[in-house]
Amino acid sequence: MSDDAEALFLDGTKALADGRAGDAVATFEALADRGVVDAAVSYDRGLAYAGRVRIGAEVPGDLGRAAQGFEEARALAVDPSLAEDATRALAVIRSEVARRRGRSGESVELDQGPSLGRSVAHLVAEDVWSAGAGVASLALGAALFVRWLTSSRRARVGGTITAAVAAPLLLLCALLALAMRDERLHRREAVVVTSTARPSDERGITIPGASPLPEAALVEIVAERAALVRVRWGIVDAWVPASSVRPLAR
Amino acid sequence: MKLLLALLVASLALFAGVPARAQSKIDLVVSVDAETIEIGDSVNVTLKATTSGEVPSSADIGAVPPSFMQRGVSNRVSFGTNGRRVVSIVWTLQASKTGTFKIGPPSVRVGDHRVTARTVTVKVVPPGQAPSSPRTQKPPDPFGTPFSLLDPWRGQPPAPEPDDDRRLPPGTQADAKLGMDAPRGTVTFLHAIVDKTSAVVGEQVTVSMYVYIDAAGPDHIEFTDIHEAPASDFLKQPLIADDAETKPVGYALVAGRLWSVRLARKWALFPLKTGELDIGAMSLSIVKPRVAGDPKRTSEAIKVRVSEPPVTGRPPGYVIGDVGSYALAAEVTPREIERGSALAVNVTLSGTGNLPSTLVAPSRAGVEWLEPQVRDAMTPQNDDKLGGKRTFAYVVRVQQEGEIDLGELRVSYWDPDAKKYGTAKATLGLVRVKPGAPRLAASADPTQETLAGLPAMRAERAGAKASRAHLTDTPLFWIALGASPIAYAFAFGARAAVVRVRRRRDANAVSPDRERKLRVKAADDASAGDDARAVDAAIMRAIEAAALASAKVNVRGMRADEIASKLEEAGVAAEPARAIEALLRECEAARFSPDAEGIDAARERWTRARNAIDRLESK
Repeated sequence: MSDDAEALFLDGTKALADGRAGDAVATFEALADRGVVDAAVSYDRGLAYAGRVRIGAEVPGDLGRAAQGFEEARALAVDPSLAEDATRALAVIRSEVARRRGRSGESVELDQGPSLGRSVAHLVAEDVWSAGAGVASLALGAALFVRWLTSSRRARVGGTITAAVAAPLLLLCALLALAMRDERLHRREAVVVTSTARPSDERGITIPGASPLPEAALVEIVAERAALVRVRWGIVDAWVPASSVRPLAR
Repeated sequence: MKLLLALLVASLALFAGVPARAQSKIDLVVSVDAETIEIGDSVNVTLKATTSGEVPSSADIGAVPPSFMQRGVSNRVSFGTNGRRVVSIVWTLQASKTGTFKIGPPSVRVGDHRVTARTVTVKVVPPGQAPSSPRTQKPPDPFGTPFSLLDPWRGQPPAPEPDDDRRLPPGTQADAKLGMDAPRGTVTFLHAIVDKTSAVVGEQVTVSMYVYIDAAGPDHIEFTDIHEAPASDFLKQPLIADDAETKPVGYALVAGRLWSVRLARKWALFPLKTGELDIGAMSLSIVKPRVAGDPKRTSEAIKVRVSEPPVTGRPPGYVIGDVGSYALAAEVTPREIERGSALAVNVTLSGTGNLPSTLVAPSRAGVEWLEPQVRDAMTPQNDDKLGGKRTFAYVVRVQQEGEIDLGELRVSYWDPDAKKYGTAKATLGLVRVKPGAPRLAASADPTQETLAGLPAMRAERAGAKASRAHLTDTPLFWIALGASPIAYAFAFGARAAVVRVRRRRDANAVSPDRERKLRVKAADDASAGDDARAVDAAIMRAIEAAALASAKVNVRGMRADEIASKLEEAGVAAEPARAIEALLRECEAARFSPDAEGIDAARERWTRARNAIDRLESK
């Protein structure tokens, strides 16, 4: 972090400590504008937005922006305690959003959870899938050679069984490693920062009967075009105004 | 239209202060500016009414053939030195059919009477057949204040004015700034000038639209079908009213010719986003006079490259688009209130440029800022920059007691002239809040229940997960992943290929054995036919090949009586050797016998020959 950014961070934390949530928001946003990617900055930015809600000076979208700060902090955090605090803060924010939605008779479901495929892929780390694929590849190759070159019946049977197990294992591990890599490199997530993010079609025409995406919900950005972004949230796959979501820094 | 015209003429009468019931002589003169026009062209029918008494009203052109479409009506009144008034009504008609047509008679109402002029005749010819002589020029009206109901320029450019005289005042100088290399059209054209082609989001870009009029051209030009320049990526603020009269700004030399230049539009455009943004072309069509070619005139389309102000030095709270130079002042009244009551904060934001329409109020616990009333007083400044002031009248409710610091209002801006950021500030100061009505239990502390349980802030930065290399990032991993199965496939495939190639090579190699097989097959094929001589020839070649392959004896060219002995010398049993010799003799005889033996005999020989060949092979 440069001196300028360091000074801004100190100003922001001081404003936050003094209860000047508006000033803190401005300062932490200035840091974001400068491209500073830091888990503590994102976390404190979330707190600044939440602080503005707490003192009754809420601006529409503050809860969503607070959630975005905490989600970002959680994704960036190296320190497990910071990640844990961000997760707790996120729960507080989402509870408040759910409480408000519940009052207005809307669905209180904010977290759609990952898909089955993503859940399976996240069972182990990407490198574990890669290593598994490597082992399966070696086993497959060895089994095939044994089966080909040996004249021993037992060895041939052993080779056949090993190859039959190793081949699908290799395919599975390689695909999951590839999926994890693709997600690591290309998946973009964002948080809904407005309560009026109505799903629309690619022309920007609101889908009749579709409910707005809940503020503070974590969505996946699938595509971007001009003033619209295509997001996926659970089974919802629609376009929303780009200004209604804020991507997580990586 | 007639009603409008009547009202207009009546209003002119009022303007002229003419006694309503004055009776006097009226002279009507009707004329056309061209007696022969081409199809699609317009003709102007002018009715000039000269009167010293009551001003005529309710002008009517009379009968208009259906092949003419009325494109517009203009009207003017002028005052002569002898106290007479001249009212001129000009109807513009567009012809859509060839032929000779009578138009009119036009008429006007004077008092209770309608006075009628004569009809006029117009000949409409196909394109290119109209005489090339210039149209009848309307005599200049030195007293007129021309205007046209359909003329969006309000009759501009009009008949001679002191600052726009076709005869050019002595000492007229061309303005070099308005000069161009070549005109964009004949008679008149539009020219757009922008003060800058690169700007930051929110920075004013001033666009001027000029009308150039040939100083030696006609003295009256009317336009229609005006399309303003589209600029959807900009916030557009007119610096002169769009419906205002065009303003003469001087003369320009264009390709060595003098043109009168009038300012038609001037806009302050504020870019709303980054990128290469388009300012579209403005267009209009000339109704009068008739011009050769396309009457449409279009200005240049302009591109403006728009970027964001620099990130370096950007103050906290800066909002993209706040560009200009601002000052902030605030007044708080009263300074002492009771808890729960309100005070007024009047904030004045002044300066030039794109003044923000919202301010971020300082947030303090127990201080609630209600939506402000905003008033604008934005006008063009001397240097064509939009500026002025915007006032925000806030009502602020305070729910906490004691000395409350309301904080400070701040608006940061990018000053494009100084190329740096600035921040306008207004300190609101302290207010003293006295105890008010007792609090309700539920609202004892309004912040108590909102977002309870948030963890503490972090005063130390924490960094971010470093992106580390993964196995899948290297192509070597993917190559290694496929290496062993691919190695197996390669080895297996290579071996199979080698075997296949070897077999094929063996099969294709030239050898006595292969030759024998081919000859035997050929003899088989021949025996299936009905040519006995061909069968015998094939039998001979098959036997020769078999003898060479099995006994290594070339019987071809050998004397017939020594074949058996040679074969026996080579180890062939006597019986098959003699059989072969006999078969060769028979085949030879049958082939060259003048009386063909027939196919059945040949087939029988082939059966015997097969037996002999088999026995040779099993030797």
